[in-house]
Amino acid sequence: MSQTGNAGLNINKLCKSFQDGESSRTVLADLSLCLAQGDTLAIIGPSGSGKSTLLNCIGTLDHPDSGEILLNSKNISAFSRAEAEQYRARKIGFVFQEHHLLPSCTAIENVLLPSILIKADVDFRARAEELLARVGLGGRGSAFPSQLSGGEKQRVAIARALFNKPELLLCDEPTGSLDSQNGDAVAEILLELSAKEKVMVVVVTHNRAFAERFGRVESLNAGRLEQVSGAVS
Amino acid sequence: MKIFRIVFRNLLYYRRNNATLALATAVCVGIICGALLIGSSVRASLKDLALKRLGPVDKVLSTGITLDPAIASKMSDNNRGTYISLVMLNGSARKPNSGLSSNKINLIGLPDLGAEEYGGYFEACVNLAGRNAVINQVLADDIGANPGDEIIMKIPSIMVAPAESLFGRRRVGENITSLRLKVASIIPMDKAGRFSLDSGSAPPRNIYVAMDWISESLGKRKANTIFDTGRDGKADEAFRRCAVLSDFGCRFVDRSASGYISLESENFVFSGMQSGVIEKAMRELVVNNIRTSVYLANSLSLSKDGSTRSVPYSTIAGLDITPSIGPSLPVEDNVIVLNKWTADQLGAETGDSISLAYYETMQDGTVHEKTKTFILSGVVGMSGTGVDAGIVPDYPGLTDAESIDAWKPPFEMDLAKIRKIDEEYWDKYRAAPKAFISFPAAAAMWGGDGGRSLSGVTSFRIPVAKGSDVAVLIKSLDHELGKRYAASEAAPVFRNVRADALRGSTGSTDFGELFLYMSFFLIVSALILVAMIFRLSIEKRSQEIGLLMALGFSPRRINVIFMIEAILAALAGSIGGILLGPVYADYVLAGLRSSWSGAVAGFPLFLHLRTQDLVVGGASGFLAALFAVWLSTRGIFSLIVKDLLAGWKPGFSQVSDHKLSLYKKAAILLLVIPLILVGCGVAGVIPPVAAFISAGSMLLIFVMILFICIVSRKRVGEYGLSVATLVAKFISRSRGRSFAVFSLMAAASFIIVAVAANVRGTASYMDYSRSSGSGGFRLLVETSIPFYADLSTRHGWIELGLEEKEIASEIPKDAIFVPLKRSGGEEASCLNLNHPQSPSVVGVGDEFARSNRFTFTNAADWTAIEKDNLAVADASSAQWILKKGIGDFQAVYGRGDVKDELKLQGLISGSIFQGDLVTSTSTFNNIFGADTGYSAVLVECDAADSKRVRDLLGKHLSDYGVQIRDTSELLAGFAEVQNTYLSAFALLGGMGMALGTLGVAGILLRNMVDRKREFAVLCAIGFGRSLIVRMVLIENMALVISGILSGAACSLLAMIPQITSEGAAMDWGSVLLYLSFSAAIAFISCWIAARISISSNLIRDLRAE
Repeated sequence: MSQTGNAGLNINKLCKSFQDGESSRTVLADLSLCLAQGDTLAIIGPSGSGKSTLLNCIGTLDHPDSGEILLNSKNISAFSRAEAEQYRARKIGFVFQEHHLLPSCTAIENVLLPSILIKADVDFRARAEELLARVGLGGRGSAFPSQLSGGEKQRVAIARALFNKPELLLCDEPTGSLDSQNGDAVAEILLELSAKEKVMVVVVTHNRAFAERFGRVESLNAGRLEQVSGAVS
Repeated sequence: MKIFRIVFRNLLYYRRNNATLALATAVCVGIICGALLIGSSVRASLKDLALKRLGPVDKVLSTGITLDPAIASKMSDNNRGTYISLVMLNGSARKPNSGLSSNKINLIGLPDLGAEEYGGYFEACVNLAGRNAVINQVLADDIGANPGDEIIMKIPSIMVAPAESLFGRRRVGENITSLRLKVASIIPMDKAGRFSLDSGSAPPRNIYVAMDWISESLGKRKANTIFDTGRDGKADEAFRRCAVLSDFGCRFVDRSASGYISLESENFVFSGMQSGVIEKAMRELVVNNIRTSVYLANSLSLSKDGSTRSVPYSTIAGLDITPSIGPSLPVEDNVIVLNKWTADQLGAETGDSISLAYYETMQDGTVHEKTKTFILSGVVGMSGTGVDAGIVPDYPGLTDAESIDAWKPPFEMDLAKIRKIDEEYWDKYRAAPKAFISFPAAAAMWGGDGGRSLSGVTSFRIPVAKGSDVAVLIKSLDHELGKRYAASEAAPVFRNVRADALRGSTGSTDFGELFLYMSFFLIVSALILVAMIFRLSIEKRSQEIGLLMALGFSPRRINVIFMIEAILAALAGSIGGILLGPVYADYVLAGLRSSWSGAVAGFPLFLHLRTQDLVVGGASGFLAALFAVWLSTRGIFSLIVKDLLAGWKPGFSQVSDHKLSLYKKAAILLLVIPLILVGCGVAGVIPPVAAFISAGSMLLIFVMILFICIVSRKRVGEYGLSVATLVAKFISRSRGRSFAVFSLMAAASFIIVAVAANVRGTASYMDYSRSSGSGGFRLLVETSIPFYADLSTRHGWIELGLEEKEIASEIPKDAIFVPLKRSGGEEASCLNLNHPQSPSVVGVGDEFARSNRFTFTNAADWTAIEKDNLAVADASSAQWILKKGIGDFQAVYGRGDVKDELKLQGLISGSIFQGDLVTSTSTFNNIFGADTGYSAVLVECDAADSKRVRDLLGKHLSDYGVQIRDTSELLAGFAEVQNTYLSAFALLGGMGMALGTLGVAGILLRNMVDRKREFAVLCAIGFGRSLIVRMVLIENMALVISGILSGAACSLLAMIPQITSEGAAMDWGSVLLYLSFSAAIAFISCWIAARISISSNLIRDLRAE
């Protein structure tokens, strides 16, 4: 893995465009961003502005056309597929708008999913139970997704995202399918975990009120970020 | 948390999908296991049958009725009970006054041994007294016999002289012995009731009698068969150790009063081989001997002084004199010595020219009088050799006659020529030769017009010194000569019938393979079903895959999770399939015993479970299912995570212009080639069948590619808004699914139509042209007992018992009769499930070869069999039953079960000779003996004369167990096997199509569920529910019906030669039924799926959208 720059997340001149028929549509244009350990960032913007694309690039689910993404000095945009998988398994936590729980597994088993990728003879169950408790689902570990409400499912997804003690938590519209009450609860959990675990949190949302609860808010427009509130660490 | 936990959870959660996957795998495994079990069951059933029909018999030695019955006990000396001497003959039987008869009967004369000597197998058939007989149930049913009833059995008589010789009794009726038997009991078709040395499918017809009684009835206390039941592998050695010359049809006659011992043949004259072996043995043992040949002169005449004097019907002798022994008899071929009586009768003096008239026997059995002139070199007195009747071997009907007038010769005699003085000579000197010529001159008279196997030696005269112990000498010679004879090539050998039967029971057709082929479409359908189910399952779970990828699971690891799931589901399915396999096999075997029995010629087949088949079938089906699963998952794990997370569904993607252009070029090529092929086929440049099949198959591929081109077309702005355009867009959007449905239905209907088109009706075998399978022959006449009348000649008909005027009036003028010599080998056609080790051989004459009959599939004609040991076979029998090709050698067991080989030189197509190898008469005679009679006649005649010929031959050959069949009936019998296979194939193909249709129904159902939201949108826009159902039906039925029609049309083109050929019996009704049934299943599934999809809460689905 190549190493450049400082600790935290540094994005330099990131470009990404999509082919739309015979024309090309630029989604990210020379986008730069810095995020320090424990920072929380909410990215807002209209539909199609490239919020999710940015998140996917940071999460190595998509490749930028140019530019670099450095996490703790490692250029993750140049990762091979295997490196990206390792990176996702160890450094990143994902929370999606759709909770994407395995319907066949119980809540605690969903949280435990990343443990499969960790080669250690450790009983991870305690951590999974602790995480479930932290998201307010203590005692609901044996419930199947079909037995959980939307908010509860999302909390399980957050617990799963935190299981591998990620350095970076990426949330793509985490409250998109939740009512405001559940949305608030999710925000609380994310901020609390960020504070306690010193995890960088990047949230993509349409919901301005929800966004403003995070340390910094940036708006994605014409492929570039514009600071709305908060300060760069 | 381990992967297995996820797998376990998934297995439970997606239990319906997994159960369906397991079910499809079970079908696939079940069919493979079943097919393998069918193959094993056929082999095991044949083996069972072989072992049952042989009982304790391991090896068999067969010869003429020449064996001393005591030889078996001598051979068994050190191994008690191992060998059994007996009499085995073939014949026909009837119940008097019932009109019921049965042919191909095995008459078995068992020696009076204790039941334990037979190992319990023949116990029901021993200790029979007098003419009491035990018959088996099938024979009892044939002739309606009950215990206590009398039955008449006809068997071949023991020939007193070779049929090919002047003294052979060739006339119909002269070589048949009639036995009147009393049914003591009827035994079931088990043990002795099942016993047979024939591997054919027909249950044996057995009659058991006491050996003593039957051998006495035949006039000889001899046996003709030895069973070896010991399996010690020393039978031949024991036989060579114990056999004496008398066991080989020779006898020593004490003529010590005349100063010699006479070694004679029980068959009046020694064959060339016999004579050669004996001469060699005597040379080795330094036994002085004089070869003697006696013959019958029709007259000895002397023309002198203007008058001719004759002596009628005199025996003449040729003695192979050596200077050291014997009287002064002729050694030159043109001289003759008369005894004094004859010289006086003729008034002959030394130097006179004596004319000798005798009958020369032609190869066709006719006799012609021939005259030779000899110079009288001397006269012997009426003593010693001059009056030695012992020179002439016994010939019943002649030498034992009271008077010449009472002779019963097998040839024409003018009794008016017999004078009183001749009778007086007979009274005084019996058959004593009246004239002596050289041995070569006498032996040559036996040769006729050549081609004989006879040596002309009628006895070996071994001088004995006065005072010698003749009995001891004879015993010693019998033993020593016998030992040498037994070791020679002329001696019969034991045939390992058990080993042959076991080898044969491996079967000529691998039914396992056959049913695998026939079930191929069914298996493929099941595998497609497996692949589709898994693919749909994966598509449904695309978000799950995306999530796991997002969590850092590598595609390989995710693949492993899914594959483990598939493996476990397929494993469960395989176990189910292993249980299903025997049920399927049993069902098919039941079919082969009943409605499909034509395919196995009535062989009783039963299920035999073999673990190996279940393991192999289970494993191969399991692996095939996993392969299908692997194929179905290709590409999905390389999809982009975000697409998967977004709930990826396979959708319409544009085919690149380059690819589309390639498709179009391929389609054009595939359209042009069939047109060229059809043109070539019609013009006869290539065989039409091959041309049309290739054209039809290519057209099918063309249609499939055309379909891809059509559904891959870019549709930007192409359509206005209409139901049809929407439907077209739906079809194009799911191109893969649409192609799967279309191609599956097209392929299935192609097979269904092709199979049906190949069915032949009986009309196709009514072709009596010479190039057809009938060879131009309308009737095949077969007899259980060989006859010797050559029906291709006028003389033959006379021997058959017809008067001259009857020949003129009863035999149709244009009819051609071709008598065939046929060996007793195994049936080599598809009617024999066993793999024949020694097929039946037919010998045909030059006339037949010249008549240019049948059609050769290779560049050969009937001249192919002109040279020795070459043969022609039916192409199908050679390829499928004998597994031989041109240039290959086929083993056959000749006379005395001596092994020989025939080289295949020509192949004929679809002929009546599917059961035999065809060779020349000379090759046949070399291998099986020239005195083998005819056991079949082929008749070429007009339809109008058919009945007359049937009646004529039926009447005159009735004692020989005659069976007369139309050749079309015979060919239809062979074809029934193929038609039954086709019917089974059609059924299994139909089942495959049904399963494939179910798969299609599954796809449609799944498709409907996936499109619920789409329907909801349409509903919200204002589409009525019935319109949506209609659109869905149109979309899917368009695929199904276009697939069926395309496949059927291509198949019809491919099968044009078959459909339009004479005798085609395509069952259009069944074809329409199969195809309509498939379309109906698709329609119903589609309708149900559409109804289910739109009956749910579409508004809720719309909200979700």
